[in-house]
Formats: sequence, C-alpha cells, structure tokens
Amino acid sequence: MLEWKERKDGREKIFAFRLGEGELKVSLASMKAGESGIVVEFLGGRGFVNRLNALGIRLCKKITKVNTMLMRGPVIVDIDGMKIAIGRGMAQRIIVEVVDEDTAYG
Amino acid sequence: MKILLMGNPNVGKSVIFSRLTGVKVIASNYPGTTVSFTRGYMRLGDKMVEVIDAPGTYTLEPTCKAEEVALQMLAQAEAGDVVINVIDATNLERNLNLTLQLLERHIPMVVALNLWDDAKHKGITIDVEKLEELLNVPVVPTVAVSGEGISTLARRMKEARINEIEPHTTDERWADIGNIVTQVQSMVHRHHTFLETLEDLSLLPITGLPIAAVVIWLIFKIVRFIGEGLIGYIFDPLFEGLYAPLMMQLSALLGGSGFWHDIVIGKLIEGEIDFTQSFGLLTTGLYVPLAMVLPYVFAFYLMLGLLEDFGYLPRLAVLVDNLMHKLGLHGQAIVPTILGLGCSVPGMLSARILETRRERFIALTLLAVAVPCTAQSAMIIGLVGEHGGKYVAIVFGTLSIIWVLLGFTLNKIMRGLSPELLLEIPSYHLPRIVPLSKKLWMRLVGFLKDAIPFMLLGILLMNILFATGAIDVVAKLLAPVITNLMGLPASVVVALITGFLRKDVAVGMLAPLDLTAKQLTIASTVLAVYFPCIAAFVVLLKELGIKDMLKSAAIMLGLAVLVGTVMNLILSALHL
Repeated sequence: MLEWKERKDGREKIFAFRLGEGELKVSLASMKAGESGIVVEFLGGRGFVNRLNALGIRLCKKITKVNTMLMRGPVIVDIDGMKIAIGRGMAQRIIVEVVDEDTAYG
Repeated sequence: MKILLMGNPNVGKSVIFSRLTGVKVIASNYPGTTVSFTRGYMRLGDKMVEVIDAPGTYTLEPTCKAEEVALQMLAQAEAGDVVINVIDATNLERNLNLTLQLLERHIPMVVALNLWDDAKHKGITIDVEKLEELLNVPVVPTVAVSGEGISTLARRMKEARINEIEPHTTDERWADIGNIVTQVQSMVHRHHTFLETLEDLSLLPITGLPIAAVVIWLIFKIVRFIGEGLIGYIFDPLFEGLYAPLMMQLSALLGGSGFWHDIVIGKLIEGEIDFTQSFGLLTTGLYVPLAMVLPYVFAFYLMLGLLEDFGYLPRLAVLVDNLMHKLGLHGQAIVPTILGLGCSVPGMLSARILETRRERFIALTLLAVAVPCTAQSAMIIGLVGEHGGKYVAIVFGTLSIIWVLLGFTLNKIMRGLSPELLLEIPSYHLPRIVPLSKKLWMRLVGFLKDAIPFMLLGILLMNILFATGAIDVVAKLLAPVITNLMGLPASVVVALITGFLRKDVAVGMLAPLDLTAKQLTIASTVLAVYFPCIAAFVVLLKELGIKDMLKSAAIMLGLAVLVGTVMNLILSALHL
C-alpha cells in the first residue's frame, strides 16, 4: 500500500511516502524537529557523500534532527552525540527513514 | 626525523603541539583555528626533533585550502618521520576514519587519544589496550589542556610503528571502524548538564537569536568599558602626569623647535606637548599605540579569547548563515570577519576554511574594505568620538552598509554559487585561565611588535614628507578627487599615504589637520575603505594571487572615491 503524505515545511510542500509496513522516507530538511531516523540515501555525487561521511553522516546511521534555523536556514542534527549544522540544500539531498519513537530503531 | 601532528579539526592538535615543543600557538574551541602549519622542536632522547602542527582534516581528500596544507605536510613526510594522530575520544568512530587512512600510508604512527576527560564526563569508556592491539600502534590517552598523558606520549614516541595494512575501499574501512568501535567502546547514558542545556538553547532559533544579540551587545559594552577604563584611569594619567613633564624637559634641551626637535618631540601646541597632535616619535609615536590602541586591543582579544575557547563562534556561524548566503558566503565566514575586527592578518588567513576561490575573494575583499581592525576602530572612537557619538555611529554604520551592499553585489555579478554550510559544532567548554591568558599575551605581544615599529616609521615618513615638501606635490595631484569630490583639505593626503603602513597612525594624522566633524567622519571612513595596511596587503596578495588582488584593489580604490563623494553629498545635505 502506497500512502502519500503531505507535510508543510515553511513555504514548500514536501511529499513523503509510506511504504508497506510504515517506513516514512523524507529528506532531512523536511523532517520535524526532534524526529529521529536512519540515513538511507544520499542524492549526490561521490564528493558530496565523502564530505558527509567524513563528518560521521553515513548510511544506516541513526540521525536526530535537532531543529532548523528560521527562514530556510541550516538544519542541525545530532549524530553519535555530535551536533552538525548542514546547509538546507544539502539537507534536502539526505534521505532519512523516520522511525517512530515507540518502535525505536534496531 | 620530523614529527607531524595530524587529526580531525578541533581535537586539540595545537594544544598538544604547544605542550610538546613549548612553542606558543593560538588554540581555540572551533574547527579551523589552525590554517597554516607551525614548526617547533622537542627533545627526544638526546636529540632535538622537529615537530609540525598541521591544520585539521577529516579525510585525506581535501575540501578546502587549510586541509590542502595538511595534506602537503603529509606528502612531504620522509623515511624516519613519525605521525602523531590526535583523535577525539568523545567521537572515536569518525576520528578513526582518518586514523585508518593514515595507517594505509605506512608511516610510523602513535595515536594520542585526546579529550580523555571529556569522554569520561560524557559517559564514554574506551579500552585503550584493546584499541592499541587492534590498531597495532601505541595509543596514549591525553588531556592536552591540563598536560595529562603528554609525558607518556613523548616517552612512547620511540615505539611508533607501521601497521602493514592494505589500502581499503571506503566501505571496507567503515566496516573495520565499526568492528573496532564495538570492541573497544562502551557508553552509559547520562542526563544533560547545564552547559549542554545552554548548547541547545543557543542553537534554537527562538532563543539563539536573542542570545546572539545579547552576547554581541555585551561584548561591545565590555570592550568599551575596559578600553575606556584603562585609558582614563591608567594610561592617560601615566602619560600626562609622569611622561609629559619628562618630554617637556627633553623638548627644552633640544631647543623647543627645529628639525630634530620636531622629529623627536613634534610641534608644541600652545607651548605644551599634545600627545594626539604633536606628532613626534617619542610623544605621539608612543602615545597612540600604547595609550589609545593597546587598551582596546587588550579588551577585544580578552573577549574574543573567551568566545573562542567557550565554543560560541560556530553557533554564531549557524545563526548568521542566511544573511551570509546573501553576500555570497556561508555562515562560517563570520569567523574571519570577527577575527578581522581584531586584526586583518589573522582574519584573512582564517578565510582558508572557506571552500571555493569565489568565497575567499568575496570574504577577503569584504574584510579589506569594510571591516576595520581594533587599532583603527580605537583611533576612530578616540578622535571622531570627541565630536560626539553620532559621528562614530556614522563611520561604523557606513562601513556596515558597504559590507552588506558590496557582498550582495559581488554575489550577483560573480559567477558560481556559494557552497553550503557543513560545520561540526563543538561542545561548550568553560575557558581555562592559563591558556586564555597565554593566548591573550601572545596577541598583545604580536600587536606591539607590529604596531610600534610601523608607527615610528609612519611618523618619521610624515615628518620627512612635510619637511621636503613632497607632500605638496602629491596633494596637488590628488586635490581634484579629495577636495572637489570628498570636500576634504588636500593635506589629508598625508594620512592616506601613511595608511599604507598602518591604519591607526593614519587616523591619528587627521588630528592635527583641523578638520570639521564632517570632514573627520568622511576621512576616517575613506581611510578604512581605500586600501589595506601593508601587513594585510601582503597576506591578500599571497592568498588571492596577483590577478585577483588587482581586482580587489580596484574595488577598494573605486569604492573609496564613491563612498567619500556620497558621504560628502549626504552629510552636507543633512548639515552635519
């Protein structure tokens, strides 16, 4: 079952979709503050991926969005207890599978 | 044999370097403090060996100029050289990525597991023996700021060895890292400390922006309070009460006037020495750097040091990221700007943390044009301030407007996009008194070493220019621009010429020229904009290359004329 979900995020509408048993894939930019998820995809070239990897943002890592600055500012995430600020355009190219708080991640 | 310190940004390489060699280097709590390398020497057995502090890097694939410097240092390593890989114990996984890449280079290595105390506080335990066994090189826990573990590190340098591992693909490497981390590290969850709560608050937009506003306002207040206090209660009484009578005696000894008298003591104003107007080597030449500028330099660097060591600057970078994008930069460019408010030279060097040439060009040009250094600001506050605070506000207000408009324009006309912010935000640390005062001391000594010789040279040059009449020739040449467009007397040329040497002395030279408040305001602003001082110019040339430097210089000179003319029109229309 494919269920489209619409989220308002500032001025843009972001469509997230839920596949089968409830995984919700969204970009880091459209996650809500406080939400956690697993990094599942990087939409970018090797250079982009390497820069993120070097800072500890890698596939299959748990990532928590701390918040977004006002007016399409950078996104702040927590990964392994480290805080990292990521420009919005980059954040839109990092795809995360959101985990519900109660199911946690495994 | 050389020892090369390598590691991720902001793990404490510079502090370890200082501990090993005794060489003082600037260390702070934000990524990108070290953008160049520093050499020092340490005793190892009965030999003295060279130690090199390299800029931090996350990987061996550079993304900015500072990282390229680190990689060049590594590429130059010869047989027998040793790498000390400094890693952050609170973030083992990410740091090990560089460690394994370094091991693949087959250079003898020792690992310093730094920030060991922080890891303990964060509930992280690392099995050092196991880690040493897995990496097959010595691993020494250290707390560089307190010196813990440094002697063990030095003692174990001779055990440095090569781990014969094969080059890995990125995925294989991360798999290895995962294995190592699960075997050596365990974590216990703990509650937020006060500092951590403050960390969160200063990053939330709702609380972060007011906090930033309060921090910046407080800093201005405190810098002025300390600066004015030192001048009013210590330096002025010393110079007026003790030093002036001494100089009057010398003046009498030299006959009260004449060429040598004017060079050493300067012109007497109504029979007295006026420290801001006499312009002799021993009067104004010492009064300006010591009694007008040093107090502000002290106050500014004290506050900057506190902010740096606390770890506030990266948070400011996040908060201003939006604004900086409009200027073709990203948030991290606030660091060079703030350092530039102290002195352009470290400010310009720190622009190496920016990724592209375009960004560096914009950042450096903005720094050279619209960011006055503390020495210059102190003189503007001191001299222009005599006519009222609103004139000081006009100078700094105009510079801020130029900063925004010029950045905005360069961003529009230059090809290319500004890259996005990707910045690690360090934990807050309570600043420690000893490193803080060492850093302050270094910066003050650095200021005096630069300021006094150039100040004296500037005054000498000015006296010679006046005595030989050379100034009249240049003044006539530039009179159409300076007098007709900017409404300034042609004698202002002398300040523009000495401004190449130092900006503070140049602003000082406006004092004896009997300018009106309006003229002084315009002249001070033009002096800030038209060209950097020689020290900053050399850095600008080195960082940009000759072609971009010429472009940047054309912008400066063009803007100086434009700004002077526009200010003259507006201020005249407002009858200020």
